[in-house]
Amino acid sequence: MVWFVIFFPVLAALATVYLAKRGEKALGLWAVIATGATLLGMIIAAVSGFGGVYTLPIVHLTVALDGFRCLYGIVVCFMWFVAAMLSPQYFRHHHNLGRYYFFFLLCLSSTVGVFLSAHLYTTFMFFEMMSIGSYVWVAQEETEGAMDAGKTYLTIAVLGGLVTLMGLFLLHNVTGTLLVSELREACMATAERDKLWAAALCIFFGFAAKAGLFPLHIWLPKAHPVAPAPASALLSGVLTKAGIFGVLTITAQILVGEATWGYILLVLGAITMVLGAVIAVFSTNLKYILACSSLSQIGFITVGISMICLLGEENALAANGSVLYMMNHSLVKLVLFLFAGVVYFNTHALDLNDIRGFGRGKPLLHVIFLSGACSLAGIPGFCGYISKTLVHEAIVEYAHHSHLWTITAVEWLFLFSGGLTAAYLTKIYVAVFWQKGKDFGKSWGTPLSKAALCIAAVTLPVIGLTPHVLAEKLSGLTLDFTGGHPFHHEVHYLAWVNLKGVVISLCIAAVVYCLFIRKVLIAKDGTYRSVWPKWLSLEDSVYKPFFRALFAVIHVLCRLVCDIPDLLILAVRKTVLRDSRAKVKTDPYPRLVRMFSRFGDESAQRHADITATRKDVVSRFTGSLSFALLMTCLGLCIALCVMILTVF
Amino acid sequence: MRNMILYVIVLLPALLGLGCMFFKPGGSKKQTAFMLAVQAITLIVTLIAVCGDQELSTAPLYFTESLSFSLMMDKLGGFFCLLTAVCWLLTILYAYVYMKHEGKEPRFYAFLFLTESMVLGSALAADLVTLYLFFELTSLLSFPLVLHSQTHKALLGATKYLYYSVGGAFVALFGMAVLASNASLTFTAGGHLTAGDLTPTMMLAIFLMILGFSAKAGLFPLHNWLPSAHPVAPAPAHALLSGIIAKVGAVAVIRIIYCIVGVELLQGSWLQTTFIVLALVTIFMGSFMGCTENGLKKRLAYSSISQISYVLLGVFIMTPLGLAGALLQLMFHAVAKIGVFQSAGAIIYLTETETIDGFPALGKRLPTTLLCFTLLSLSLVGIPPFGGFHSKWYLAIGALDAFPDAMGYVIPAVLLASALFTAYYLFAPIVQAFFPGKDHPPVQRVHEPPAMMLSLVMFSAAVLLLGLFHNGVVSTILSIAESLM
Repeated sequence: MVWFVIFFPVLAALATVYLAKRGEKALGLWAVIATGATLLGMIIAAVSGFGGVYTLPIVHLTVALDGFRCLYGIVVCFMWFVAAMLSPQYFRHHHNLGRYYFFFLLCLSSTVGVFLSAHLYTTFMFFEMMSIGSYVWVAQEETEGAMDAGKTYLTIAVLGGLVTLMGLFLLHNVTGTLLVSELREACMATAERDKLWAAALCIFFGFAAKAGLFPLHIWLPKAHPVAPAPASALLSGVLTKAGIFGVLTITAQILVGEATWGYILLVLGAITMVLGAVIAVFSTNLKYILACSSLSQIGFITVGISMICLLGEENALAANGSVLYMMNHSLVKLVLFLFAGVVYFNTHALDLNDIRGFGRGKPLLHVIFLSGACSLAGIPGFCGYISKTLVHEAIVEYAHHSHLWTITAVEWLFLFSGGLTAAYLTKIYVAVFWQKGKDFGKSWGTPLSKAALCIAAVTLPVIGLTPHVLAEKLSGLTLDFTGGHPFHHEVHYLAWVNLKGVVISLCIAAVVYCLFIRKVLIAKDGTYRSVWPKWLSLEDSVYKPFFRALFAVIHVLCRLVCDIPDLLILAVRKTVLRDSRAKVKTDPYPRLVRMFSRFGDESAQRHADITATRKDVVSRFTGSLSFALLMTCLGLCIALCVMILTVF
Repeated sequence: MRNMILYVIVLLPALLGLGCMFFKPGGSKKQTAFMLAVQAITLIVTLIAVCGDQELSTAPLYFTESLSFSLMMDKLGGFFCLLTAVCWLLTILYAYVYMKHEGKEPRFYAFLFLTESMVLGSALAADLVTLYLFFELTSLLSFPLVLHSQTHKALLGATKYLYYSVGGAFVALFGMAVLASNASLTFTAGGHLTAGDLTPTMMLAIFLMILGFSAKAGLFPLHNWLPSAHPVAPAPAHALLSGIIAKVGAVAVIRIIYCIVGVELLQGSWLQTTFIVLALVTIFMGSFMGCTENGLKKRLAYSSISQISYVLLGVFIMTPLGLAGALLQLMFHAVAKIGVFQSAGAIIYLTETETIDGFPALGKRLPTTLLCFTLLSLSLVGIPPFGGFHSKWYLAIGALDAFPDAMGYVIPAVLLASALFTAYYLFAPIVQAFFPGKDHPPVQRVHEPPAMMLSLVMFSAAVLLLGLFHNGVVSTILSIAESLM
């Protein structure tokens, strides 16, 4: 059954090639059916084959069905299914749909493959297929922005993939195995720590690039907004998690218990967390805000993972929290990006100024958005509250253990970013649902689209309201994979200690929203202003100039190296082996004679020309080095003959 | 008598080539079918020879007392012969359409088959003199292929090609002369020199031989003929030049290192280090220059420089894993590059697009061609599960195993840097072809000749299927590599 989940989407993708001629309705329907079947297959596989490891001789495919893999496999299939349900309406009257659906289904196969893989070789293979296949999503619209974002996306994807490959080479060299289940022991046993670290950092590079961690996040805020909404939901909700999957693998299997590793993750995570949230507060484009929000949330998750590493034996809170956080973020972004999709196909705009008041008079949409936003902001009763609380408590615990002021600072950054999250969500909420704008009418989607959004939104409170019954059970299944330990004592989610964090965050949010967003970012007439300076882009102001300069230098060097042999030959031709210039005597006769000869003796003229040419050739010949060499040879031959004659 | 098969393998294409010279086929359907049939027979005979249980070898014919002519088919020879026969067979299918546009088919086919015969001979040579003979003849007989269009540029390119190949062979000849005075020239698996034989003069001789023969494979510093010569040849010839003929140099180098000297003597010597550095320089430089080149064929020629040096790099690593990587690369690059050149040829033939600037929207005009181009490019870059990935994998693993020091890091790093550049110079046009931008005017689909597409699709399917089911391929190649140790 597990192979069905991986191979069926590929076959379904091939089927779209034929369906493309039948029109967009057939394609859309087929995508829903195919993803639905895959979801069903995944659930059956998870139930019937739980705990098994499966291999296939084709390219050493090795997959496992342990708790984490099953859970995320189902989340991935579920998200694809819901995204497919919104697609028919979103893509009405769009072009190149055959291409879109083909890669939509192909990436389902490779993404599930990444999450189920139990062998890093398999992981890498699916990871590359996923990276390159999803390029098509980013570039699908073919606008200038999309092409530019696609370029950045592909560059980072290919670069990340290759660096990861380097890491796999090194890891294979150090440990002799890439089977995830054997890695932990092999890595603990190895004495070549430097090489192991090099391997881990290289592997990390690729996965961090995919996850969007600072400083490799540059593709993320560019790519997510330009992709079609169903694809953005998946890019943000699932593909970034494939990166997190890699980070988790490194933490739990390769660099087990290395405190330095924990600190690296903590620093990178904290930077990403704050950076994303700050940019999100400033921007005015709905999808751009959501993309930056993804960035920030990835930072939160990474901080959680760093705690898994740092807390060692007592990482129950961190391990459970991080996995729930991942899941929460996937589902929330599904809701919010699909919401953005709904906004876009109704208004053809994403700027907050153009969509003001879109949500007025649409109660269902209102509820759906609130469900996603509350979960993201970590309001009690939603999934996000559980995960945020657990990760927050993990940080508090580590701050308590280590007595480091820096950890307390990270805790405050955590709360601050949480506050910013609530602030930018309020900004969207107020703009779309409360401010008055154009009249957008009452209808906003087909029943299929509405169903998609409802299914996506309902999961969040369901998980959120059953922390002990469902959420902890789910995260408990994943502890083998994350290297976590079970809870020592029950967590009381509604205790004041835990609620305090949310209250602080919400206070920060209120302050930021009222004092900053309302005063600075909103002009007198109620329009949103974009005050984020354009030049403050890592890509444009650092990476591009640096790599341009590097390329220029390499270019000169390579050109030189490439042409050295030719230059040498040229130099020799111009110096030692030069064609000697014949003594040019263009006209052996004076002009007058020539004039006469034209009327009279033409043969004399011809004769003169021939003589000149001959002279020219002879002088060329006698003047050259080869002639000299030939003469030397002749001399040697004569000498030889003389010697032979004298001997005999 | 079975041993006579070897002569049949070499002579069959040669006779076909001579026949083409006399009967001057115009490239009609019947004549092409006949050529295909003869090629198929060659392939079958090769297969029979390869599948036989004992290694075939012919009794030596002596030119002089010490210089002999003999053929044998060991695993390496068989592998290369099969590859050659398959590639030639499919190329005829392609040339049938393409050459109508170039004209002068009889001459082209004649030299095409004569060259094939010489390539097969080089693979089957059982001693260095025979190898040298076939090697020189390969260069000479493929010269008219490069010259085919007879333009001034073609003349320059072809002359450069001839000078470099023949010049390289002369350098090798000097080495051979030194070697012949000290040791036997017959190939034996594992080599037959002893540590005592390796005087400094001898080392120099070996150095020169490797340098000379690798000129044909485009190793720095004797690489610069490739970007001048390859682009001027007609596409089918260009494909074979880069895919197979250039690899004859690599085979010759394998013969010298593995079958004459023996790897144990060279491991860790200055010679190994020098050649690895040269190969790395070539790989890096070739792929980078590809990024800066706008002409389609020239870009691919630079790509060949870098990719063929992967093969040499694997050969110079001198371990079974490294050699296996080299042979995998030899095969997958041959298949992928011939395919890529054929698609480039198809693009030029059907739309007269000769530069990368002409690529926008090409994916909508020639969907099949560009699709194949994309698949083959993925293999060249080394994206799993395509074939090219496996060769890179074994090269890098082999390098890391063989060198625990800094060299072990440098080799994979250069391979990956080169892969990055390869991705750049191949993906950039592909992206333009399929994503021309919203404002690009709509284009008409161009009819793609089925015979041409058949050949292309076969090559594309080969890289994908061989990559997916690589277990059997890899174990075969590993056994070949181990048989040479």
